[in-house]
Amino acid sequence: MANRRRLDGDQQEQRRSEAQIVRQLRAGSKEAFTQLYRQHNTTMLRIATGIVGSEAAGEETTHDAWIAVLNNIDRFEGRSGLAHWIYVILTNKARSRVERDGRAVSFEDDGTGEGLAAAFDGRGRWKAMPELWEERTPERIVAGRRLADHVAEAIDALPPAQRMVLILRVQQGLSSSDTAAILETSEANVRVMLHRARLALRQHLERLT
Amino acid sequence: MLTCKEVVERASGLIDGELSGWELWKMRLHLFLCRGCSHFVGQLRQTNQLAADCGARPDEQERSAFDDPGPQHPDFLSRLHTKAADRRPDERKA
Repeated sequence: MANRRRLDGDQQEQRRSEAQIVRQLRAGSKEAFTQLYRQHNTTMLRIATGIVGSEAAGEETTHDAWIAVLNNIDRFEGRSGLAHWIYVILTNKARSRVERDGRAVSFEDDGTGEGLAAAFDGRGRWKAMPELWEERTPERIVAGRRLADHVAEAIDALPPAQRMVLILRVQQGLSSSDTAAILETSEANVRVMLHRARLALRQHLERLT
Repeated sequence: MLTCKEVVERASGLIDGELSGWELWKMRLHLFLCRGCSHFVGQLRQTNQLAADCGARPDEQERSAFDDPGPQHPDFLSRLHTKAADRRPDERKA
């Protein structure tokens, strides 16, 4: 209950902060734009590249999306969060680009990532019990590199749909319903893809030990 | 009683707080009794936290690219800055 109250408080604080950024953007504040750009540009590049399929096209799409954000900021009504609104603009731009190139866009479950099926016996019990991991921090050095670098590499290696769901749900903290709306898929599909993404990352991390 | 395989299939639901009632109770009971699944859920929580931390890392390249655009995108950044700074009320209505 206390957690729920804190969450609501955080959300209200976030909404107030967003409303302030929107007011400043409408007034033409360079600082507000810089703050927003820093907060979202890297994620937007990853998402756009995941949809359009190349880094160069992903950059162009992200640039187009930023221009659309600035051109349309007066139309932002605050019914969804600002991040949700920006990612809808971005994914629409990316979709248009892919369709212009004559390709299809789909964020339906791509069916990959079943990896753990072989870990169980016929009665659904572990063949080999998972071990307890010691505490892992992003800065810890494993196999000569920071754990954060290993994780970033594993995220980049995920199938595009799983990667996008992970970015939006886990890294951006959007809800399943917001993520489903942005990707134009079902909440059930978002849950399946997020679970598969986590299983794939876990397997990657397990191989490092 | 859930099997270990069923616990793994529902582990993200547990992490995301999406289980309730009977489903949640069955998960908790299994995790209380099964060390392997308890370790597995702990691993998945750590994995999730690392992925979240990874997204929260300040991207140093992005920051420096904005402060000092360099040769790659000077036109884009200056265009956006100009757009952000020079918008006038009559243009906004258009």
